Formats: sequence, C-alpha cells, structure tokens
Amino acid sequence: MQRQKTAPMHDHKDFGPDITIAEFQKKMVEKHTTMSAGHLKLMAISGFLLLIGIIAIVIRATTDGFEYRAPWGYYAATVAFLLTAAGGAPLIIVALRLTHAHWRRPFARISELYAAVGILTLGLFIPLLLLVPTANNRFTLWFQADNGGSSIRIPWAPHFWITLLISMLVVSGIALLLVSARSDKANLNDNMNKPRGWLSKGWVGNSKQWSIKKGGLTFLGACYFFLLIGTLSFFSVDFGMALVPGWKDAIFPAFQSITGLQAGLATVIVTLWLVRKYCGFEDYIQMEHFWAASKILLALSLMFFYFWFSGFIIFWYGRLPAEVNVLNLLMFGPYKVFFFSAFILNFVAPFLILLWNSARKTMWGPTLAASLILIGTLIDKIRIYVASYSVDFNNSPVSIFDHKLNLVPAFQAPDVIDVLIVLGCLSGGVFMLSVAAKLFPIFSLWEISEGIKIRTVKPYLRTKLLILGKPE
Amino acid sequence: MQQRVALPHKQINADLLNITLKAPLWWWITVGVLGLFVLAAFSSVAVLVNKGLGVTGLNRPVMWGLFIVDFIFWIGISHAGVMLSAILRLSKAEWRRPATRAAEVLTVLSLLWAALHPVIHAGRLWRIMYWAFPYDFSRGIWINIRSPLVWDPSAIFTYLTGSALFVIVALIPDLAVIRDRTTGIRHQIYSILAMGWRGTPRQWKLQIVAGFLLSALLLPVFVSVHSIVSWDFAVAISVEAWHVTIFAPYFVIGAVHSGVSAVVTMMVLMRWLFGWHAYIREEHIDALGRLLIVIATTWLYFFFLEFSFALFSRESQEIALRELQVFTWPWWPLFLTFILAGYVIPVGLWLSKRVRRSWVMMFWTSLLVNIGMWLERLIIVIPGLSRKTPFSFDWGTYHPSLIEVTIIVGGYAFVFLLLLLFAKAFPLIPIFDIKEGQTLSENIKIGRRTVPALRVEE
Amino acid sequence: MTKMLAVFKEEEKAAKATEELEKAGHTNENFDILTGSPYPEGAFGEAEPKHHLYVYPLVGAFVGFSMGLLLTIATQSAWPLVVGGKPILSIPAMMIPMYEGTMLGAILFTIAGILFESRLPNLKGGLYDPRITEGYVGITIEVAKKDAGELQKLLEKAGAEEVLRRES
Repeated sequence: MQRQKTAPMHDHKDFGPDITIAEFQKKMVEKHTTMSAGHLKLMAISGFLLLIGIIAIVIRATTDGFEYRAPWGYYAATVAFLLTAAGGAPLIIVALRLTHAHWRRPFARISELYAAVGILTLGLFIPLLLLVPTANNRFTLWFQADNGGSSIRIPWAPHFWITLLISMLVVSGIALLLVSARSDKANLNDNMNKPRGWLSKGWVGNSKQWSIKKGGLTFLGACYFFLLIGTLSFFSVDFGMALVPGWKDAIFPAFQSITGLQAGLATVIVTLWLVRKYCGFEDYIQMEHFWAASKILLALSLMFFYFWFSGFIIFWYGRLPAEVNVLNLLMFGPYKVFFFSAFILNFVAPFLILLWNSARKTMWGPTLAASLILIGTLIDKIRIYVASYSVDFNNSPVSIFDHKLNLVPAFQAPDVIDVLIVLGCLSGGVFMLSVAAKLFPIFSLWEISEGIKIRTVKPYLRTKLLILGKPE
Repeated sequence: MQQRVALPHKQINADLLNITLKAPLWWWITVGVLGLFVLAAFSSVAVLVNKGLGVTGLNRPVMWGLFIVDFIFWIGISHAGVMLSAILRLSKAEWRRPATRAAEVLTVLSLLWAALHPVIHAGRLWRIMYWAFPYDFSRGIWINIRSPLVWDPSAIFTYLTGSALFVIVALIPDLAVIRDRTTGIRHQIYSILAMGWRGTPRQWKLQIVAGFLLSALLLPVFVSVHSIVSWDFAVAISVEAWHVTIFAPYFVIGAVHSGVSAVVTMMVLMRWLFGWHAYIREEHIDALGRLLIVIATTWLYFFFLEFSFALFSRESQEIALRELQVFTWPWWPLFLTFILAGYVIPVGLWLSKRVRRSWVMMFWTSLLVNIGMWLERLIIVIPGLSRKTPFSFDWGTYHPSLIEVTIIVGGYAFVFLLLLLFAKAFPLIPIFDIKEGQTLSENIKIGRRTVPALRVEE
Repeated sequence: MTKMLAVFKEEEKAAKATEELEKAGHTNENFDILTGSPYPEGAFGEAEPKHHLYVYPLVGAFVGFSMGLLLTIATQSAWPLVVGGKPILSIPAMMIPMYEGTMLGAILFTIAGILFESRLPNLKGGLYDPRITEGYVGITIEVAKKDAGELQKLLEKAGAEEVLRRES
C-alpha cells in the first residue's frame, strides 16, 4: 500500500530563511548607505509634484479667496485623507507592539516613518482654519451653547484646540520615530565608520537605555493613539459634519477613526509590498507578514460596514426631514457614485478578497485589498468633505446656523486646480516619506534583531516546530 | 511573567473534574438556597401572569421598566463569552485556555435568562408567538419584519443556538474524559454524550478547525445581537436621547465591558470554590485586567460621543433630559455611581499591576463594573421615557414593584444555579485545552535567561 | 484479521514505535493514533487528515440567506401594510433578519459538518483504553491473523505498556 502523505513535516525553510543578526545588519547598512537611482527619482518627481500642488493651492487662494467653502472641498478631502491614511500608519506599530505580535517587526519602521508626513499635513491644515467660523451659536461639540442650558463656553473653539491637537499628534509621531530609531542610527553610524549624529550621541545600549527606550515607546505610543483618535474625531466634526446644518451623527467621529485604522494598515501593507519589490528585501519580508496583517485588515473592513450601517439605519428609520436630506447629500444624491464606489472599495471588494484563506495567504491578496482600500478611502473623503463644503457658496440658501439642511446642493465637479491640488498633496506625502527613508533605516534593526534572537526551530517527536520566545 | 506548572494528565483530569465526579457539601447547600430564590422568582412570574402587568410598577409614560433594563444587562453579560473565547482563539492567545469554557457557558446561560425578560415583560407570555415568529395562525396577518422588535428575537435565537452548539462541540473530548472515569449509569450517559470519541488525529484536527471556524462565525453574530438590542431604542424618534447613531457600537462595547468583567468575577470565584489554583493564575487575570482597560477606555470614548452629541445640536429638550439624568434627584447619585463604578474606580485601580494580580481586588472591581453598567442601562431607559411627552403634565416616573424586584433578583440566582448545575455535569475549564497548552509550552535560553516559549505550527 | 491497540505511556516511545512500524512495512494508512489531547500535526508521522469543513458554512450561509430572503419577502407581501412610511420591501430593514438567517444557516451546517467530518457519532466503537485520556498514546493497527504475533512483539519491544487484541 502506498504511504499516505504525512501531515506537513516542517523543515527549516517553512519558517523563513536562516539569517543571523550580523548578516541582516550588514545587508541593511549596505542598502542604507547606497542611495538607489530609483529612490532619487522618486524624491525628485514627488517633490516636483508637491511644488505644483502648492502653486495650485496659491492659485485657488488668490482666485477664490476664503469667503466660501465650496471651492475648497477637494482640498479639505485631501487633508482629511492624509490625516487618515498617513496619520493612521504609525498607529499600526503602536497597536502591534502593545499586543506583542511577533510578526510586527518588518512593519515597525515603515509604519513609524509615516510620522514625517504629519509635518506636511499640519502645514496643509492651516489654510482650512480660515474657512471655518467660530463654534459660537451653531452645532458644535465645544459646548458653546448660549441658550437652552449650559453656560459653559470653551474659548477659541474650534480653531485653537484642533490646531493644538494636530500639532501634538505630529510631535508625538516624530518623537516616536526618533526614540525608536536612535539605537539604529547609532548602529548604522558605527558600521559606516561615521561619527555619531545628535540623535545617536550617547547611545551605548546598556540595559537602562533599553528600558527607557521601551518605556518611552509605550508612553509615546499611547499618546499617539489618543491624539490620533481625538484628531480624527474632532477634525471630522469641526471640518466636516458641523458645516452641514442638521447633520447630527454621533457615530461619525468613531466611523472616521475606524477608517483611520483601516487606511493606516492599508498604507503600511502597500508600502511593505513596494519596499519588498523594489528595495531588494525579499528575504526579510515574507508571506506570513502579509497573512497576519490580512486578518486584521479583514476585520477592519467589516468594521467599516458595521459603523456605516449603524449610523445609516438610524437615519433611514427615523426619516426626519433633516435626516433624509443629509442622507441624500452624502449617499444617495449628487455623490452617489462616490458613495457606492467607496462602499465597494472599502468593504465589498476587500471582504470578498480576504474571505478566502488562499488569497489571504499570499502577498498579492492583502496588497490588492489594501490598495483598493486606499483608493476607496480617498473617494470616501471626497464624498464627505466635498459634499459638506458644497453647502456654502455665494447666495447659498443654507446657513451654518440653520437647524436643518433645507436644500441639497448640486454636485461639485473638480476643476484642473482641484486635480493638481489632490495630486500635489498626495505626492507631497510620498516625498516626505522618501526623505524620511533617506534619514532613517527602513527597517527597525533592533526589533528585527530581537525577533531573530527569540525564534528557533527544534525537533518535536517526529516533526520540527518553530519555537517562539515570549519574554514579556 | 508567567507561572507555568507542568502537571501530569491524570492530575489535570482529577483536578478539573473534582466537582463533576464528587460534589462537596457546600455545592448542595448553595444549590438549595439558590433554588429557593428561583422558586420565588417563578412564583412572582406566575402572579404576574395571573393578575396581569398591573402588579408591576409600569405605568404611563414609563412602559419599559426593570425587565427591559435587566434584559439589556444580561444580553450584555452574554457578550463576554463568545467575544472573549472567539477573539482569543483567533489571535491564538495562550492565556485564553482556562477562560474559554466558563465564558461560553456564561454566555449561553445569561442569554437564556435575558431572552425570557421580554417574554415576561409581555405579560401574556404566549402572545410573544404572534409578534415574533413568522407564523400567521391562519389569520393572514404576518409579523412586521421592518420592526426592530422582530429583528431582536431573530438575532437572539441565532446567537443562542450558535453559542450553545459551540459549547457542546467543544465539550465532546471532555465528555470522553468523564466517560473514561465513571462507571454504571453515569458511564452509560457520558458514553452516549461523548458519541464514541476516541481522539484520533482527524478528530482533533477537526475540533481545532471547528474552534476557529465557529469563532469566526459567532463574532459577527455577537456584534449584531447587542446592536439590534440598541436599535430597539435608537430607531425610535419619539424619545429624547434614544435616537442616536452611536447606540449600536456603544451598546456592544458596554456589553463587552460588563461581560468580560463578569468573566473575571467568575474566574476568581471558580478558583476559590473549586481550588483551581494551578489553572487560573495571576497571569490570566492580569491579562484580562489589561484587556479590560482597553475595552473600558473604548467604551468611555463612545460614551463621550453619545453624551456630547446630545448637546451638539443645542436642543433645549435634549439638554433638559441630560440635566435630569446628571443633576436631578434621584438620578444624580445613580449617575455618579455609574461613572465611578463603571469606569473611574476600576480602571484607575487596574492601572496598577499589583491590583491586576490581586484576586480580592479583581473580584471587587469587576463586580463594581457590573453595578455601574447596570445603572447605565437604567439611566438610558427610564429618564428618557418619563419625559417622553412634550407636555409636563404628562410626565411621570417609575417605581418598581416587589414582584419585579423579586423576579430580577431571582434571575441572578437562576443563572448562578444553572452555572453550578453545569459544573456538576461538565468541567468548567476545557480539559483538553489545558493539556494542549502543556504540550505546546517550551523554554528557550537567551543569554543567561530562560524565556518561556511556545511551539508554533505555522 | 486482528485489530490491535498498543498503549504507550511515553509519547516519545509511541513516536518511535510508528517509525518501527513503517520500517516493518506498515504505512501510516494502516495505523491510527489515539491521544488524550491534540498534538502538533505530524508528531507521530500520521497521515494528514483531509477534510472539507470549509465548504459547509458556505453552503449553510447560502441556504440561510435564501431562507431569510424568502421569509422577509413573503411575509411582507402577504400582509402589505405600510408602517412608518417605509416601503413594503425595505431593503435596509430586511437585511437584518436576512443576515441572521445567513449566519444561522452557516453555523448549523458547520456543526453538522464537524460531526460528519469527525465521523461522529461513532457507533462501531473499536478498540479503546481509558488510559488514553490520562495522557497515554494509543496506536491502533489491523493486520492479518498470522502476522499478529510478530507485530505484537514489535510493539512491545518499542515500549508498549500493553497490547490489546481483538479478532474479527
């Protein structure tokens, strides 16, 4: 009788290549010191497009001014997208470190590098402040009521507070990157026989420094988490929802925070794939990393649907005139193509792809789903912010002080300037990332080295098993 | 820091089946006392059926009282089990092992009791049949699928069926253990229940795949159940503070908060009552404590959104209702207790590792959470209804009657009684899961330190 | 034919015994392993269990969805009463019972699949020893009557505590 196939006999290869810490560091130093032509080209092109984007913003400001919000919808959508996708990216490593996920290691630095994009986002956010009136006497979360109850009034709302929030977010993101990269910079400089820079000066790697570093990462991670949720929540209300009279939707800030997690993870996955493909790190980034991330991406895509539906069913069931108009404005009216596209790209398509283990357990499956999610998120931000900003135009019958939306304004089509703004700002994100990747190694040397230390393969009865240490 | 102990399988069997194979005296006494409470509750239900809803404190405009409050509470408790065991199973968290069965059983039993609340609340229990089930009694009138009061039974039925079957499937290998340790009629009963389980690689593989698959299937159901319960309130436009879009995730996360706390309470009790010191260890409640901090803080975020959006639109009626809830007697002490007990005190304490690793502290803080969360439901349901109508002469309030209170209190005894009965018949900690955990544990040496490690298959 | 069950106290010896069996010309199709708790796949060189459990929830979900769709459409059209200004066939509202139906179908079919694929209930029984649930490892094997003695010796030499036999 033929011997049946035994249950998979794991050989060493199934668990990834056998690399030593020294080999990995050598390769990393080699990659980091030589700047590839591709990297240079990417920096040049994205920098050029950013410049064009900035020129387009200046043209918009000089031709349309800041009197009405309608011309600025696409700009606001782009800022929201950067805040969501690039802002959400560093959160991924914060969450994975918190859960001690072993597969987080190649994701770590890529995720942290996106903190650099925050500087651009903060800069782009400033013009939006000119478009939003004070929170006084209108729908707001900032307790500005001067009639009917509360007399508490928070000053300078919302402008000062939201600027403060975003600034703190950017600072904590950059701090997270610096604290994490400090030992790596020291390592790189020593290996390249270069003098230590300001960041790595004094790093010797004693146990006190390591424990401060790890504690610092936890603290800054927690700060980043709370600041990001706060920023996404308040930004989406103050620079979106509150600009549409009658739109009172408590789940919306939470929904926007969820899209931050979803788009953040998608951003990191797509970047990891690109790094693997174009930077020659095939040996270090493997299917298991994509596979592990794909399960979370699937869960977040389901959450996208859940949060959307939970809000939608209340308005649909309630059928108050204000609710009907808000649903028409955002979903089933002028922006219905955008809404359904975003719905398919953020939920239906990733769900159908990631439902199958055979697609999850590949590198292309999660990457495809993540790419669709990123496109979907941009479209979703456009339908939300362009729609919200379209309410306010010259001779608009709708005022921000109204209690309900009396009219659903027409579709706001993008003009050339809008296209250049969107393209330029998105390229600006890529530019910031590529500059950051030049300054810091693209892999977290210390985290990957730690990972190599705590994994080994041992025989067990008649098979071989991977042994993972759990030092925490 | 983990405190693993390696135990021979024979001892694991003996330890985890100590109640099942031979119940101590306290077990019989407790069952007897709880039985009396349950009897009182069932007699009260009988009085209610006989006399009608007049024996309750329900009256215009507050027609949803303690039954509904307690219904949401128990549905909430039922969210612990599956969420905990499913998420921990899917994430392959090692510390799930002693917690899963107890959590799942708590789910089934509390859901069973929760589902009876609306039935009792209907006054004429048998009429639920007309309203909830797609059966037309030859009258040509069908149930209204568009009503959340029909969505609710469909969700609860699915969840109850699914989670009960989940428990049963995972019980089969443990039933074989009991089968092998009993004689006579008990042996025969357990032989039938174990369905001829032998422990072949095929059976084990399916058992493990089933755990993942059913977890993945039950998770979306569990989310839907409490969401739908919240829509019983939120889709209505007539009551201030109910028509809020955040209600679904707010209810779900609140349910998880109270449910996981209930699991902590239960695990501490199991350790004390059954002497399972080697199985339920400090690392387990520590991990649960850390998980609870995250859950509770997420809950606080949703609570913030729910509350601040009431003030968002500056409508005087809504603001007046919030003032009633927060500043007016008798609601303000309840509100304060709810905030302190539901979040501030327990989470504040859980931040300390010493508290998270203290059995006494975890017992009381987890209990505190559930007191807080029960009050939360009370504050959502009653004040809104008592100010439902626009004219103040139609306002009212609500005082629960003795009958209602008896039924509610008896309900706690009912669930606890069922848990004890379950523990008599089946092990509350999955025996095979504990054994598997031992098989998979390893150590590796890094420098001079021996680090606990795990054998992983992929 | 003779059915045999060799009971091993140590898992290492049982793993070794399966190697000895293979050396003696028995394939892993012939023997089966009985354990009291799950072991990593391939620990005893056993045949890889093939199953189709993933198909069951899909079929179940389809059946459940169809039932949900039928039920929601049929009840609403049988008593077409407009409530709250909503259309008779309101898709958002119908989605909820349909969703629950889908999940219920998937769960029920999965449970049926688990039992069927695990070949439970197993009415035939077979050789068994209660020590299996105490951590012992059992190897069951079926051989021609004439080879039984030799095989028993092999298993005992490999470290079996006891070898149970049943003739058929």
